[in-house]
Amino acid sequence: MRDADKYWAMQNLKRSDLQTEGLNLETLMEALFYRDEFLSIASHELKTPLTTMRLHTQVFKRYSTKDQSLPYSKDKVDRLVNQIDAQTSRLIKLVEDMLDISRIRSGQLCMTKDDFNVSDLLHDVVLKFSLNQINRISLKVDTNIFLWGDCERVAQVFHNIINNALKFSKDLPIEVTLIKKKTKISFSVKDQGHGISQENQKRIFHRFQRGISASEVSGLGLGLYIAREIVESHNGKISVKSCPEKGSTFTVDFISKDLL
Amino acid sequence: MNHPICIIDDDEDIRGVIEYALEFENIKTISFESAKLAEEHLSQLSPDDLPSLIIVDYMMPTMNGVEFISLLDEKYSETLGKIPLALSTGFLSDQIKIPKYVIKLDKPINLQDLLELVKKYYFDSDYVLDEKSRTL
Repeated sequence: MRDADKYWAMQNLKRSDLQTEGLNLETLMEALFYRDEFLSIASHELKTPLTTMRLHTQVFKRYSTKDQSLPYSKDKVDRLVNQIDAQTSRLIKLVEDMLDISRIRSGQLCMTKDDFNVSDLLHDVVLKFSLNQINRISLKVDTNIFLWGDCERVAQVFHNIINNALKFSKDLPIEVTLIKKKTKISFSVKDQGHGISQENQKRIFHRFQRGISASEVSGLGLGLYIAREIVESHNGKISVKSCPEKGSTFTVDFISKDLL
Repeated sequence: MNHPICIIDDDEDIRGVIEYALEFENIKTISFESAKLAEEHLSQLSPDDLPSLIIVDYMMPTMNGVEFISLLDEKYSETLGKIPLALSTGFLSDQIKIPKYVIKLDKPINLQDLLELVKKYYFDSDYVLDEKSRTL
């Protein structure tokens, strides 16, 4: 526990009040620590794509002011514009994740449920990754599985878990599976990445927590928390099996529509 | 002959855009995606070929920017350790410990700040192996 946090808490909270509310000071301190760490990582994550966008636009501005044309081929201009576009998408995703956290906290993460083909949805999600990433994905999907749920939110779950596996396993292949068993629809992603310790497995589905240092892999550490909230709002269950240095398997079990 | 500006950042787009911005000013660059690769390459260079400035990102896997700076000081104090250093980061000053002689380049990087910093070292090569140049 950091001294500054402890001091702050002691100034603002009375131990008796905590006991009355059934709260534990250590737990509150831990929550404060993770919140501060999150804010710090969030500012870094937001500023990184902004750097690319800002420098590109300032270079264009500098040369247009000088009335000089940029001596670049169409291909190079296309590549630069695509970079700005990709960084814009990265920023939007970060902001959306932060808004989702806020929605979850206030109970406003709305679901628009319908019957949809989850097999097709998974194919669509995979196709949105880059070609290099798609080449690393081994996909095994039972066809025409239908699920009762929010199609966009389930796509978000698939994306977050696949994206994590790709990020945490560097250039190694991953296995993505969607199968229907008697009572459930099971989605799983197996990677050969760093793996997650037993201790971290307990906390990675919680807000602001991550299984690996922020300096190792970029991201806000919100993806699994958001995924868990979405899965649970579909009466599903998300779990992980992992062995450090050997890899992890994340599994999401949805209840088959027939049983709802 | 001017010595290149060395850029170390694990984000390919950021390396690319800094190279791109400096290219327009006729400033040469060499880039590395990790501190480890930079160490491997730079440690092989003769003193005459050392870069005029190293811009290193703080948040990188395996070895972060501050660890890289410490490595230069401890292992290469007579060579690489004398090159002026700038640490690029989105963190605030009170969130990371930066040695006093290191310039902090705040993200999102402003082109004017980048050019002022780079030109100061790129067009004045007398700093090389000059201990005082590290005190800014």
